[in-house]
Amino acid sequence: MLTLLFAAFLLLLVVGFDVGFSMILSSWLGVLSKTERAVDASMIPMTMISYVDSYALVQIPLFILAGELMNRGGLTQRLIDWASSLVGRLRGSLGHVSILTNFVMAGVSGSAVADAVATGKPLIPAMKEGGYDHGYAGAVIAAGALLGPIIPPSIPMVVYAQIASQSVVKLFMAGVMPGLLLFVGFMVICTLVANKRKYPRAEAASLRQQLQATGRAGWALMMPVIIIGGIRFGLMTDTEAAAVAAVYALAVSLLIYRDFKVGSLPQVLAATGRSTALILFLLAAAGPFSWLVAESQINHAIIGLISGISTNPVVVLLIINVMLLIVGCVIEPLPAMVIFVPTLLPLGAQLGIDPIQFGAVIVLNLMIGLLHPPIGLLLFIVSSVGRVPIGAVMRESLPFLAWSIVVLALAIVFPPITTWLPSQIH
Amino acid sequence: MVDPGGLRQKSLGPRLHGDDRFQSFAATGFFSVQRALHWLDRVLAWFVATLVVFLVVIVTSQLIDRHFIDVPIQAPDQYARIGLVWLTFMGFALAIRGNVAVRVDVIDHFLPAPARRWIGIVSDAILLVMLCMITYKGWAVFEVGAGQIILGTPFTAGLPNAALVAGAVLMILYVAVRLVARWRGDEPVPLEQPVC
Repeated sequence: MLTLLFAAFLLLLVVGFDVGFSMILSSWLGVLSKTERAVDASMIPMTMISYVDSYALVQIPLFILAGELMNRGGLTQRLIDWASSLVGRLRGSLGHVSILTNFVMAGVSGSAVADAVATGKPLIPAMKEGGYDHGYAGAVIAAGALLGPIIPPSIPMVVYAQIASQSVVKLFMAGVMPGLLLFVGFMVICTLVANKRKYPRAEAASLRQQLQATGRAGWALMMPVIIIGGIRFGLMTDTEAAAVAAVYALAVSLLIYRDFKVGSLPQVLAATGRSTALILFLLAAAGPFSWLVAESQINHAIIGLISGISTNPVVVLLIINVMLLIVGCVIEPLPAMVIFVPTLLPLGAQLGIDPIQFGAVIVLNLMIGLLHPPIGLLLFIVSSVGRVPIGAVMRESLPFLAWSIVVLALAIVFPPITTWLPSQIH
Repeated sequence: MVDPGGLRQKSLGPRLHGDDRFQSFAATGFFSVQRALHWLDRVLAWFVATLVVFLVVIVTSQLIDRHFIDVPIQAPDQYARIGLVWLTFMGFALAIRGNVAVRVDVIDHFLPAPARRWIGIVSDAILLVMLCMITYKGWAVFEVGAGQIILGTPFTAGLPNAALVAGAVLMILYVAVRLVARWRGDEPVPLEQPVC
């Protein structure tokens, strides 16, 4: 019967039923079909509410708001100008600018989609005008935006922490080294591609111009420092850091850069609320669905299946990751996370895999799904924002995708990449 | 013409059936309902925006309380949790209205428009039934919560529990309107920004 319910769930997904409601409907059918140890259907709304009734999740709307305000308040544009002054002398410098800007923004927004839109709008047309291949222009933005949910703060890591009952701050720290590895690799790829294709160099900025650009972007550059420094040195909690980021972005946009109109604020706030609800409703729907997964004992079947292949934690992690990469071909990262993490958690615990490493690797894996065909969300976003053919973006994103998978493999094989920094926090 | 609820809709082809007079009457009534909903959309968008402001203020007050001056709010984390639960369900009603809920749309690229339309109609009908059940069972959860005090606040657990019921009622309204629109041959189009 439960197999049939999962089949129904998959069918609902495939025909385009809302992912959250697919989970709720499957759970409801599970409750109705349960004859032994029957459960009242009130369990469904009750678990839905309890899954989002968490203080740790409050940071999600606050970080989304900070990102929105950064983009609309001119902070992002100043970061782009600053990055241009620093790396403009390099061949194909707009590619480097895209990666560097996204790297800094990743320290604030935590959302790949917001970063891709914010940096793609000005930079893709500039690259197209500068003679860069159109597909490359889109791919480099998509790759840079991938850093958003890996480098702290990260919304997917907050969601994972809630599902797995882990420390948000430790998960944030677990993303730092993979994020740095991705950043360095992406910069190298940009250099190699630019040299091979003889992309143009921009006029080199003098030291004075660099200092001026740094001064203009100083307020924006302070944001990641305040957030990560504030959390790391215990001045504020992760949730408070999110609120400070939002207030800071609003103050800088309104009072210093003056690029933001107060009249736009209600719309920004409503859009933030709506974006937040899309994430949190999925989490709410995961409540009853997790119950269904536990009740069906499908996790035991999966544990048995994978343990039958190997009990070596590294091999098991590799198998899980191959499976998740395939899942990422058809399901977007956050829904995939809320569907599969409850199933995979007991497996990791049974094999003694560090839960922080497990979380960081799963988040990294699912975020790579944003970059790979056929439904890599970032590819479609940059294609739409920059009016670039999707096929060209997919083709040009392959080197970035390959490096992301290498970093994922490194994070699996060398646990300290994800566990050393979190172990420094007590 | 008023763009109902800020939604743009495009025609998918001929309507299903019914004589012209009935269709004309139904269309007039349908657009009147949508105009009324337009105001509800604005109220909802403002409510959601206010909840976000509330969360910013309540969390910031904790930081101010710890480092600077005493803020006379007891258990701010409890208030934040209540606000977040309301934001989840009211914000999702706004997302349903804007047709931006998360779904796997791979099949859309392979299906002809009429098939997409029928799948949409059936999906919305199932969704309506499910939302009614959520409202009914959610009410029971609300009643249970109404007897449990949330420590540090004057509220009971009925307050966060009521968010699911309120959100589900709004979703029923919005899905019903979308279902009628689909039946009339319109395909809902995602709305990029909520209307404030």
